[in-house]
Amino acid sequence: MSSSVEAITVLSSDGDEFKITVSAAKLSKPLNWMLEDVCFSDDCDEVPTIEVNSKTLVKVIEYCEKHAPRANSGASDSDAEELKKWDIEFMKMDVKDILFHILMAANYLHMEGLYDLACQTAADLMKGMTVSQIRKIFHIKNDFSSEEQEQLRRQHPGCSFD
Amino acid sequence: MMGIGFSSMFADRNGSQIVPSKPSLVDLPESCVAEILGYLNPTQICELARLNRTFRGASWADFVWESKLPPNYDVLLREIFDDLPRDLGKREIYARLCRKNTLDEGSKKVWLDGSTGKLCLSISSKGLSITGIDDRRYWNHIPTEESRFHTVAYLQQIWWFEVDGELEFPFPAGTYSLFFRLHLGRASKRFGRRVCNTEHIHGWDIKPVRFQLSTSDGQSSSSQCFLKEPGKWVFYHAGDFVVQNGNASTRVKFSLTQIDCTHTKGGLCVDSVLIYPSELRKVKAFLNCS
Repeated sequence: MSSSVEAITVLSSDGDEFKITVSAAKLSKPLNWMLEDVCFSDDCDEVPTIEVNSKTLVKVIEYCEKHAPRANSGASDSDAEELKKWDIEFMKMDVKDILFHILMAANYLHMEGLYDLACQTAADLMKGMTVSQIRKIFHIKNDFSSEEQEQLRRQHPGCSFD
Repeated sequence: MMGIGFSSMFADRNGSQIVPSKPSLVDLPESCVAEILGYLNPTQICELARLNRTFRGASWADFVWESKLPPNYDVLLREIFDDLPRDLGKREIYARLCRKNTLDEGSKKVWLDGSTGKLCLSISSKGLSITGIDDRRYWNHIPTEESRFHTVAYLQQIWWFEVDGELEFPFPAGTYSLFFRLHLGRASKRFGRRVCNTEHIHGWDIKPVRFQLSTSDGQSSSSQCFLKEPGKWVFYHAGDFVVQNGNASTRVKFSLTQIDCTHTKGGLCVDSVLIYPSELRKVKAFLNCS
């Protein structure tokens, strides 16, 4: 890889262009491979597409850029503390809108830190909600057949383990 | 768990949109949902299994339940069950451990607290060593629905009151509190209503009873208190002990005594000894009576 390259341009699934620094892209193995592809490719004009929509990609890149210095060089405990606080703020987003895009993008891009963070955030949001509240907020359709529904209803008391 | 189907997505540069425009949890692969469920407690996991098929599938994932089981659960399984099918999933193992499992010919019950996965244990009055228990002038075993063991030891009257117990069990690491479940007076049902016979109650207001607890690794505690509230089951806190290593058995000895022989005492039901994780005292109000 040429050391002169500091950032690459990628396309979102919506076709928008984004720049991501080389050090930030290292947080994701697939992005890193893509980077190497671009740098070694004969056809350097080709802009790779990341199958993540623009709105999500902005957030993913923001996360990568913030976490890159620590991931690449290691950092002190106070930095880690600061980063944790930043993560919490970062995840204060409209849940219906983007959290699950981020979860899927983190899964797709093999970004363990972001993936864990998104899972934890989703779990925290669901704590204390009833099934019908969760269905409504996260647009989850009930896809059980009526027999399954009946079976679940019967099983449920035993399922509370008390 | 990550990267399910990544290579195909990645290769498909010009293919259809992989992240859908209207996302919902339905679109998440089961492995992602399982990862989310892993952050929730067992009761919540079961609740969320009712959402849809993906959630139901994820709620059975072994790795979700592995983290809810006590670290030494394989030792517990050997201790509690004689033969357990080998192919049981972790969720099923969890469910079995949450049942009130019987040990030592029915004199003990052991189970996991369903919402925290912490171990609880109870010892029947028949599993305790009670001074004078075979003398009908002092003590009687009486059947009752008010005991988990369907029997309690009832003290009519005695000079030397002593209840001892000893236990060796592979407790998971943690801090535990030991309680005696006691009742002043003798309850019964009359025409479907609960009535309490208080006629034998005496002597408990003169001197306090003493609780003692010790472990094989040198922990010990002692406390005393007056028995109170006739007609009500009360959990008396006898002391706490700490288990450092969940893979070795912990030996615990405990006693309840009132051996001032200048007066008799009587009219007391002894049901059981309970050992709960200390943290449950915060959530179980009945443990904070004494």
